[in-house]
Amino acid sequence: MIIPLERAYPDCLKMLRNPPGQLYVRGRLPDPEKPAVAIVGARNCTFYGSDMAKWFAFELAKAGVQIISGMAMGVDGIAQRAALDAGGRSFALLGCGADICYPKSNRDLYERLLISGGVISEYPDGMQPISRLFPSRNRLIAGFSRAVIVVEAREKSGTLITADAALEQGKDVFVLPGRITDALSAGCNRLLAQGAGIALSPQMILEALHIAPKQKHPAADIPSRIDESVLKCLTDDELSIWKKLSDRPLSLQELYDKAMENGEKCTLPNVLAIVMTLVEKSVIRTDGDGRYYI
Amino acid sequence: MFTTVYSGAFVGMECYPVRVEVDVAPGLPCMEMIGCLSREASEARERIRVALKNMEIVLPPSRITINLSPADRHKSGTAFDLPVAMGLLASIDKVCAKSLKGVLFLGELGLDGSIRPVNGILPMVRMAAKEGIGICVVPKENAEEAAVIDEVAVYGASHLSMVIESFKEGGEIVLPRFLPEEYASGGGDIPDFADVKGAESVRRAMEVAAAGFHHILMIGPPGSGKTMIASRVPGILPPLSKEESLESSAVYSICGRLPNGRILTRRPFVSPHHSSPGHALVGGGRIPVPGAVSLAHKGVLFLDELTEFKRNVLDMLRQPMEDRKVMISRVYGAAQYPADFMLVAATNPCPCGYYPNRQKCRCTETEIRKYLSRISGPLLDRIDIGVEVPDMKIDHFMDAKRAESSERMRERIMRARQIQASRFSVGGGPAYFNARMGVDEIEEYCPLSDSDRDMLRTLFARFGLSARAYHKILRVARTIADLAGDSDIATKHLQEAVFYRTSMRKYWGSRG
Repeated sequence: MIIPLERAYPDCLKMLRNPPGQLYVRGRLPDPEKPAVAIVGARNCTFYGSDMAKWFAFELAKAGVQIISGMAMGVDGIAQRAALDAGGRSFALLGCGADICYPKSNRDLYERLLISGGVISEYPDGMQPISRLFPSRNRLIAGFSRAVIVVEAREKSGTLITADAALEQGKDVFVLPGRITDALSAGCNRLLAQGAGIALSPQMILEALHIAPKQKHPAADIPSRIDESVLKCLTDDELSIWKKLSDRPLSLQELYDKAMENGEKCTLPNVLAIVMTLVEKSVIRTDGDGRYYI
Repeated sequence: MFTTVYSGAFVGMECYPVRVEVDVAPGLPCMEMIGCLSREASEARERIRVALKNMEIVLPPSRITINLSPADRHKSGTAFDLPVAMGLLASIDKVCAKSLKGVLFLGELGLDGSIRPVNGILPMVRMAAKEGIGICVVPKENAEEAAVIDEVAVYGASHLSMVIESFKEGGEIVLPRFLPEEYASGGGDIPDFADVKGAESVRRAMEVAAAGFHHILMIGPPGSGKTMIASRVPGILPPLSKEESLESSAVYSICGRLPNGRILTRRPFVSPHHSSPGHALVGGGRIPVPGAVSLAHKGVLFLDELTEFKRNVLDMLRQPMEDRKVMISRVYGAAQYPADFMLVAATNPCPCGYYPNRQKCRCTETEIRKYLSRISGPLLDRIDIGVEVPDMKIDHFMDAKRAESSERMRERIMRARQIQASRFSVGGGPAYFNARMGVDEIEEYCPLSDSDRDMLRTLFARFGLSARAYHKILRVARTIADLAGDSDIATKHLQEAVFYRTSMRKYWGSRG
């Protein structure tokens, strides 16, 4: 479906400094009557980033918020999937033709968006994705949204372009803080230092935007916070390993090195056995890259 | 006059006796060599003619026919120079034809009559011994390798005149006799594991791999010491036994690559460059020649930068890793080379090399997946152990204390090998390793308790392992248990075995 400058052209984009000459839409455009929020972040996000993207998207979508993003790997895709899982609507702005699914690995998401939302582009069908086109689609992500939530971003990243665009358009920017030792929170923390709003929970966002939650029920608690009761059941050795991981993810060798540094008496096979037991009990996780996380 | 001299030839590794028949008859003078010979073999005529002239031995003008039997098997190489010369000399009564009976002759002739070394002496002498030959006359440089076969008397010749002297009418053998030396494994400078500081997880993985002869893959950033560790593996493998040495030395002899002409006393370590073409790795060529996998027989084949090898070249490793031998078919026959090696492979985790260090690595997931998909899937299927090699830390260099030595590691590994030897000898098969266990053996020797079965199921789910990994894990767990001296596989052995399937699991995809 092709929409040149005509009645169906969304008002929110008319305010832009250089609005797109035409829009190509598959599915629908976001409903201007309903609130829309963008959730953006790094492609190589950490477990923290993916958990938070899921949490925020799910809760906001449950409250009736439309989630806008770029359907990219990492935070974008995770947020949009979570929004659809919550039964809400989500819309993707692409840096290529609306008929092309990029990245290929998000094919399933693309299909779902065609049904429960929309895939939008300012480029004609058949336009291949090239990096030059991506920054300009970021301004559209901000354009359709009332606010932009930045989940994780490196010091220099494409996500920050979206944040800049939002600020330029006078939209709110909410940023999740992260550990200052984490490269993937460096961009976020920088934005916070420059005065961006802080995002500590979906409820906070809903309140800031004056959106009442749809159903009267308490929103889900922060995911992946380990129950204190589970920790009490761990043996001393297991607890010691868990504590080491609470700072940052570590590999087996790093865990062993840390234990040796502390002067603990342990052998590598023993540390390994404890790690495996903790994974089995779901106290710690792994991402298939050799590191263990809380 | 008709004379027969005994000699030998080989195709692939298979040696067979060759009867050199020399007939001297009246007629128009000429010298013909027949018997399906390659170019250099038939050039023996020229070499012998000139050598004899230079030794002032006159060949009377006659019609000379030389046949190498069996005449339908293709023969190549220059080792027939000496036996043909002996046959000729017997025909003109320069040596006693009767004395040539029961003697194996092999060697190339120089134009001055000197005798030059040739390939394949060791397996050919072995063959001759089996055929009941009692004396072998071989080039001096090859005599040491031949002397290992103690069933025959080995004489090393450096000049044709001495051979004539030894075999003339009423003469005694004046050639130096080479006696078999006591076989002693070891020697040479294999670097020690004591130099490898830190990286305990890799040391442990290598120990497990060496104990059960499992193939292993190391994944780590550049400069993390993968090559350093790989080159130390031969030092922790059990010493090369005499039987094993004869097998591997035969391969080296066929290529003419025996170091200093002596048989191997320690396990070979072969590290082909990733630009190697397929036939250099696996064997081949117009006239078949063994490849790196055969040179690594009973030893270690180290493939560094696995992703840089051409995919189709890596795929060629499938057969040798499966059958532990290489079969090369040619028009005139098939050559078979042994290839029972332990594979140690190394790769970077991603194009920049630093994944999953998020501070340094900027590769996208697609780039990583694409990079690792260059490694042939069927090859990965045969690798039981994967381990991540951590980045080198300067603290390790500065630490003066040495790590555990290769010798200590080897002691434990030998004990584990002993257990395997007694376990598999019951079946009456050849000496066997845990890595070779088939599904039946795994069922018999790796029983699991119900609680362990449940634990495995859970871990499989947590780590996203595929069913392919199941048997590999059991094989490795059996080795870990053997190392610990436990007859039953305990939970922690299984846990460790699972760990060796979890490196880079995300990117191996369905092979994980």
